[in-house]
Amino acid sequence: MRETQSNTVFHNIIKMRELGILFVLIAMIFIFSVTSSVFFTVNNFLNITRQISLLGIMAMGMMMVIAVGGVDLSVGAVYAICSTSAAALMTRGQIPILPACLIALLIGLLFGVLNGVLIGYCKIMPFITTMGTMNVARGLALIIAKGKIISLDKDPVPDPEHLDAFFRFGGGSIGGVPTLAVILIVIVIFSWLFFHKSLTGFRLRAVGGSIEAASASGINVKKTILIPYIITSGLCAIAALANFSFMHTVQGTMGEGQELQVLAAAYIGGASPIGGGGTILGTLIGALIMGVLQNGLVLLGVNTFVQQIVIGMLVIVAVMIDVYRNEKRESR
Amino acid sequence: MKKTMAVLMTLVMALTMCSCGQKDQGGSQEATPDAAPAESGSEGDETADAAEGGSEKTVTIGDYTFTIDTAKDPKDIEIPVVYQNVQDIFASYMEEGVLGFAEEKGINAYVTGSNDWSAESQYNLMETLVTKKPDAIAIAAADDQTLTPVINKALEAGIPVLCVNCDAPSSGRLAYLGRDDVEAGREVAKYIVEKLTEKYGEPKGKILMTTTGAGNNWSDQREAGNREIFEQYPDIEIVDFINATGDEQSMYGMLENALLANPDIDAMCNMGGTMDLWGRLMKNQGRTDIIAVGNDLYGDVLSYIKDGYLTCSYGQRVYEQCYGGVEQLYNFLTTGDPASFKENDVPFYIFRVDAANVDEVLEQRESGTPIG
Repeated sequence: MRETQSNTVFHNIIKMRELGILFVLIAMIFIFSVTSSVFFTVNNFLNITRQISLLGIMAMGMMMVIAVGGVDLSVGAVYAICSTSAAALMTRGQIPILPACLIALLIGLLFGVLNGVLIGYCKIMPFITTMGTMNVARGLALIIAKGKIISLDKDPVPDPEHLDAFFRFGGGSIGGVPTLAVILIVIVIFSWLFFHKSLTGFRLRAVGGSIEAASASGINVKKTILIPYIITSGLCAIAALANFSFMHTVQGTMGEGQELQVLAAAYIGGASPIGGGGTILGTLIGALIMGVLQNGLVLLGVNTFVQQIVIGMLVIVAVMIDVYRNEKRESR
Repeated sequence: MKKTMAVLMTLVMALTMCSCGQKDQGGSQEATPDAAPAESGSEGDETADAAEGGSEKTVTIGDYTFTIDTAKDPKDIEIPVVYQNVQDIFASYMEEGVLGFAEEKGINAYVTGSNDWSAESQYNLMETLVTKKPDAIAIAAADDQTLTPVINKALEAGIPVLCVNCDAPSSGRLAYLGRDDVEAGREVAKYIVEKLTEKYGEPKGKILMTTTGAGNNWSDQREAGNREIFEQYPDIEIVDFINATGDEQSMYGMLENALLANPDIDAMCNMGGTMDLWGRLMKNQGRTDIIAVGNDLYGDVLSYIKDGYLTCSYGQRVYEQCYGGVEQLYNFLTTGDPASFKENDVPFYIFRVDAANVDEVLEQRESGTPIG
């Protein structure tokens, strides 16, 4: 019996679709550990987990959007508007910290609703819709910030006694692990339960696989498409507040280009551009690959531009693998 | 398995494109915090360890203690200079200064940074550099508040840090080489007011303000200096503020549209990044009537000043900032002398070029003197 169980476990490990990118991650860690004496240190790994936390949080949502066959280009801009809203409410609006954060979260969710309704109900292409909301959110973020940096170290808030708690949210540590990384882990767990173990998660994948088949089987396609956009924007808001808590400052230009980083993490992690695919674990590994790469190349003193080339190549390879996998599946 | 091999081979191929880099300096630099913060050019305490050869020194400057091996081989000395956006043309001018000194002394000094203007990206990069432990770091800080904690982290780890071009005065940085951007903004504005007074007999007129970096430290500070002066004159009107972003075409288009919307402006006040494009716009439109004053001397700015399409621009002596910054760090690393860090000479870095001296400056540039 024990032998059968261990065979099953081993068999499941071999069947893991994430095995390939896990090997890539391990190979990268090995290569950087050999070429840099400071890469394989606790401190450096803690840095990496903190540095990819925000990317990882947003990538969880993006993967679910891609799973329903969509894309969300507004993540960076929503991240910015949630940050600047929270900051402006606290400093200029003199609204206490917690309500300001909740309002910022609500703003993020509203953008998600807007994206989801336009795409799911009005049937506007995801690329066009989210490009539009990206520009709207970015413009609003710049207007709110008035082109300036808002800093909690300089601008007073109405409840300064709560500042320490707010700073600990993103800037503290639990058992030596940065709270940003802890937030990521919590979100990964909840995302995994939602996407892989819940009925709604199943429906997301079904719609991404085939809208016609999903509709024929009784799934409310419009509502199912709406949900991941709300989740993504909500996660962007959480990432924004966590970052604000860590950095103590915000500006209207933050998050520019972030959507491409988030997309890269999701695609490298196995999200399928044609929908239906992707896993939470894969997305986490995708974000880790990007973090390890950026960290390792800096430690090696490699030109920043080369990082872009390597990430671009990884994305291409990841999508090639997905295309190959789909062709194999169809030929059976 | 084939998929995995394909991915691994691609990864190996990609990683072999990277130079394998140098051995990490590692080092035993440690620091212990002490008393009051140091000011630029302040004195420190120096004790020489009774280590083998006596080349190792322990130096305390303010809150921070550094262990320096003054006999280290120059080619093993690593000094990264962290800019805010290495894609920006300004980074290449910084690189001239950095490499100028590096080649002279045979050290490994280089410009690095992220590909966006984000303070967070610069923070992450600095954090990774602290792990890497180069011998010293120079940084053009994207934001004082955001970068101060990580600059201090580097200092606490025993890495000497100074600022070039953009300061982080709240941090414990050992020196700053560069302009006071608020003062630079005031100078630009005073020059415009002077020219408007020449034109109208009194300080009045319409001004268009432009930048490419609204929200960034350097732009905000220059803008603050500009506005401080303009606000003193009620008959001076700021008709619009343009943050020109995107690629060159897009930025040029934004300036063009701003001019179309405000054809009767008397002056253009630039915070940075648009002087070259504005000069091109004026040349394309055949206009020499607008008083155009701003910052930076790269591209064709000097030629446009000579031809009258631009009125005046203030250089930063970016070559000297970066050369001098790396030089001060190198001197400290090779002598352990805290006096290696000099007081910043703000007026030196606010250097005006207009019709009166543009020919001379152009000659210097043509003879190979780096002008920026």
